[in-house]
Amino acid sequence: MVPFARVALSNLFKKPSTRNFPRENVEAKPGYRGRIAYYGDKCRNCGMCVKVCSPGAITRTVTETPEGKDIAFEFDLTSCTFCGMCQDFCDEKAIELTADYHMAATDHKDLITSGVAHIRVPKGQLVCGEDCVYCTLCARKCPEGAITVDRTEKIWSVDHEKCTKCGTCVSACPKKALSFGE
Amino acid sequence: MFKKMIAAAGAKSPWIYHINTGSCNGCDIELVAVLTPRYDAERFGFKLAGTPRHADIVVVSGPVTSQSKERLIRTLEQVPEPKVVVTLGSCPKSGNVFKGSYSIECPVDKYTHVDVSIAGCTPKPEAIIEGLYTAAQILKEKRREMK
Repeated sequence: MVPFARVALSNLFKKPSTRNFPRENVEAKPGYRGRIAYYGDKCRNCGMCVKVCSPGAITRTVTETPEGKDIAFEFDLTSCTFCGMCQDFCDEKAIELTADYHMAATDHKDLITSGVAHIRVPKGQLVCGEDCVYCTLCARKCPEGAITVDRTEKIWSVDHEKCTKCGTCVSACPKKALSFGE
Repeated sequence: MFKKMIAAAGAKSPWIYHINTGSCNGCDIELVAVLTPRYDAERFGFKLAGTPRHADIVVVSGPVTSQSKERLIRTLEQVPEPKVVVTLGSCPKSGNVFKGSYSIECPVDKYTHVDVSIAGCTPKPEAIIEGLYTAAQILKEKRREMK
């Protein structure tokens, strides 16, 4: 009887366990994957996010401009699994899954994250300089699988038809041997 | 006079009916969690109804499998007007990862008008409360229009 009474008394003077949600805003825990934010100025249009997205929630529309390409990205949040693969695979950190969880909307447009990346496509083709150490990092990073490196034969080659000139390999190269030119 | 009293009481207590159309159970668990003391959506008068005939708000979760399609349509027909349809999670709106499967007949928009859609996989309980609250506001407006 006594232990029960003690619990009952302590519960009587405790605060209720209910979270007073609409009055007090509740922050999501760190690491929560919520509404997608897209930063077009960082994006280089490598297309990895579109490839790794399992529900196919990301759409790209390409328009040609005098300077290069304008790529409009649309992330459909009603189609997203919030797995965070696009964020993990983005080398430029152009995609971020924010802690914003307020995703109840009457209009479908409120649940679409969109942004435009202005891409300047380099004129020259991809070439490898003499500094190459055949580490195969460029081949592994290439989203199109356009680069093949043979470590034993020391041959570096690129399929120009597959190459989209996104520049992922250029920034991945530890020796800075790759460049667009000539 | 009784009709007025019932309408006034009903406006403050919208009853929810929950249909699972092949959901993975994630959204269903969260919806039930919203009604527990921790989140306590019953503060706003929400209550799970046992039958669609008693419901004001219908919450649909899951990507509408071909087995559940008939049942979904039949259940929605039983809900008295005015009704508000809420989709829970990504599945009912787009099919999510099940998109393109032979047994999936999403989206729910094909069968009824969706008033509120809550995105997330699964949505956070707070987001569900928000969605249900907007649904209750829409229900109020629909009631006013019907008068």
